[in-house]
Amino acid sequence: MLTEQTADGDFDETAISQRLTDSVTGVDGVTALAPSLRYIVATATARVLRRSGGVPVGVDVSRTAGGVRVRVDAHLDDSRPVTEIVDEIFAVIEVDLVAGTEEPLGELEIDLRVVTRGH
Amino acid sequence: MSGPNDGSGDLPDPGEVELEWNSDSHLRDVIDEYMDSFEPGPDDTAGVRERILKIVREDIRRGPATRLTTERGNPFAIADASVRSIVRDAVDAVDGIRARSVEVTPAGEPQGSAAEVSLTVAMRAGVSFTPTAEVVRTKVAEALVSQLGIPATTIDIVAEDVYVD
Repeated sequence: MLTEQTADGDFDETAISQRLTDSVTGVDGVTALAPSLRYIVATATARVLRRSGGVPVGVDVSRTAGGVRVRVDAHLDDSRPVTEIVDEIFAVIEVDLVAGTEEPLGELEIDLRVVTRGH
Repeated sequence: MSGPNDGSGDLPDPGEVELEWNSDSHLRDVIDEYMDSFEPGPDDTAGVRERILKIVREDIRRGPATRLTTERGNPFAIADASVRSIVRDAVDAVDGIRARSVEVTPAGEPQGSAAEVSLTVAMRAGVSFTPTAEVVRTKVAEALVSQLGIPATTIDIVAEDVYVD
């Protein structure tokens, strides 16, 4: 169940990002995800402050005024058409976000980029 | 990035979502949120955000991409290099033809549900252009559908050079 909400009912973007990272990586044809913005920030902060970085995640999830925005940079293989993989990624994200979420999410905006397509 | 502070970089569609997502304002929000989460000491905060922002700007740089749409209406972007590689491989598979430049432009309704292809090629001396160009069109169209999942509306071919094996 997707119930990554903090005790005061806030939408826990970090926990959901981690969960979606696992789901999207499991889609056939997805070989890897590029680091999410939060992870890049965590890594940059770690470099500047000489601390340990965050847990690698490949999906950025954030609340917007009207709903939820998800950003994914994906590396694909050539096992099937790109659009087929894209549609499955969209479906996985939609199902995963909605399932178990107790409050209406509003409009879901998915910003998906195929970074590479390899063999 | 094209400028030190605008965050737009050499992005293909600076007016679109990408710019908003990569804007310094958004990056600062994410950095502030992250910094707040571990409560850095006073020595950690001076100038730190700007140094982090500089690193993040460099790391999030995305190359040019083609914006397409699946049959189900799901929009996505794919690196230009990946799309061109599909076309280039299809062209190079035709005997006597070598791909030079390749351009793939979103087309169709909704925008990006199809693609217009323009390419220049080099031909082996003695190859008849007209029938070979049809073979190239067929191969490119097949490759776009089978590998990308996007049909081609037009495939323009210009022979710009002749080579001898």
